[in-house]
Order: sequence, then structure tokens, then C-alpha cells
Amino acid sequence: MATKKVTSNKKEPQKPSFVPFEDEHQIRAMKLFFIIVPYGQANSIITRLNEFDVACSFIFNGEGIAKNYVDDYHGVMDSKKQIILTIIREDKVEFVKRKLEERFALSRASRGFAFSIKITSVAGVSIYKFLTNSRKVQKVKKNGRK
Amino acid sequence: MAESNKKELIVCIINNGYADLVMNAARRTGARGGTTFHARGTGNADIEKFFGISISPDKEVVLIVIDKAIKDEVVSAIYKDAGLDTKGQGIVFTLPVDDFVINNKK
Repeated sequence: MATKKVTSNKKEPQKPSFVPFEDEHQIRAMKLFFIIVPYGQANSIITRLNEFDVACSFIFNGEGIAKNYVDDYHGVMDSKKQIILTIIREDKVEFVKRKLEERFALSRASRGFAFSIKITSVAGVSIYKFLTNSRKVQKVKKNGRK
Repeated sequence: MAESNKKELIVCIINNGYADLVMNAARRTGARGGTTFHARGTGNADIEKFFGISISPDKEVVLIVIDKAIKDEVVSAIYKDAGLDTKGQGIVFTLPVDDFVINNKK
């Protein structure tokens, strides 16, 4: 008996071509902020920072080293500190700086200082999305609709 | 208030109890203050054997923000007093600081 070869007309589905994340989304730089405040004030700072879509912050306990021996001897400088490490999107940095300036100027007890360092790379798109809190940023399609 | 970005952050990782060495060297060369916190080092056992040194896991990390102009002096003073050849076995490196916020009100 002759066997008939079955040929399917179905075409194999083509794999979608790989499009790099940065081609479809705007990439925003990030900065690592170090904020050093007196002991016990870190939580209040983080509450304020949460207004700026901060994804995560870390608190370390540390010690301040007095400016000079006289301050150290008299115990003028409160040496117990909290160090906050947080990642902030570059477009929010100015607002954060202003907020921190206001906070540090409140009273003598709320003095602190902060500085930032540029983050040059992140491993993985999902980590980037998490750190920049881009859940809220909707993708803009080619036709301009969100 | 916010100041210019000509600042550098000195990070020094040193054996526990030797942060004073770092701060004294830094103060001597113009730094004003610093912050320390405790950390735990995870040294490679093979490397320790090869170089014949022991890495104690208890560490202190010293953070000092200074003007860029005095960076080299401060780093070399720290390295001299608390570098790898000393008891502190300190590792020192610097990072550029972009933004800087401080309140100097007394």
C-alpha cells in the first residue's frame, strides 16, 4: 500500500525579534544616596523619601567621628548615627535634595548630611524596573497611545 | 545647604578597632569628620594562605567626604598609617560625589 506523505501548510510561528529594553523605554539614570542622620531619625527620613517613588532603602547603624578632639572630649557631637543607603532616579534628585535641606534645617537635633554617587550599571531589566519603580510608567506604543 | 560637587568620598575598610588610625591621618591632612560602621569581611582562604596573611572578619568601614583638592594627600596619609602593611590592614578607595547636602547651622 502506498503511503501518502502528509504535508502541512501551516507555517511555523516566527519568533519575535529581540528588541532591547532601551529601544522601547526611556532609561533614566539612578543615583545612590548616602544620608547620615542622628540615631533614631532614619525612619522619618525614609517616610519622606517614599514620596519620591523610592523602591528600597537600607539603614545601617554607625558612629560619627567628631570634628575635633575638644568636641569629642566634651561629648558635644552626638556620635551615634544612622546611615541610609537609597537609590533615587536622577529626575527626582533635586526634589530629594530640597526635602533633605528642609529636614536638616529644622533644628540642631535634626542636622545631618547627604551625598550621592552615580550608578553606572544595573544587572537585569527587572532589577532596573524595580529600582526605578517603573510600574507606574506606562509603555507608549508606536501609535502614541498608552 | 547644597554645595558644589567637587567632593570625593573616601571609603576605608579596616580591621575592627583601627578606625582611629584612619581618622587621625585624615584629620591631619585636612578632613573634618567621618562616619564609621561595622561590617564583616569575607576573605578568600586560598589567597590568605598564598600571601601568608590572616584576614580577621570583623571590619570597620570609614566614610569621609573631603574636597577633591586634598584627596591625594588624605589618601596617601591614610595608606601610610593604616594601609595593608600596617596592623589595620586597611583598603582605601575614593568615589566621586555628585550631590552634596549639608546644614551648617549652629
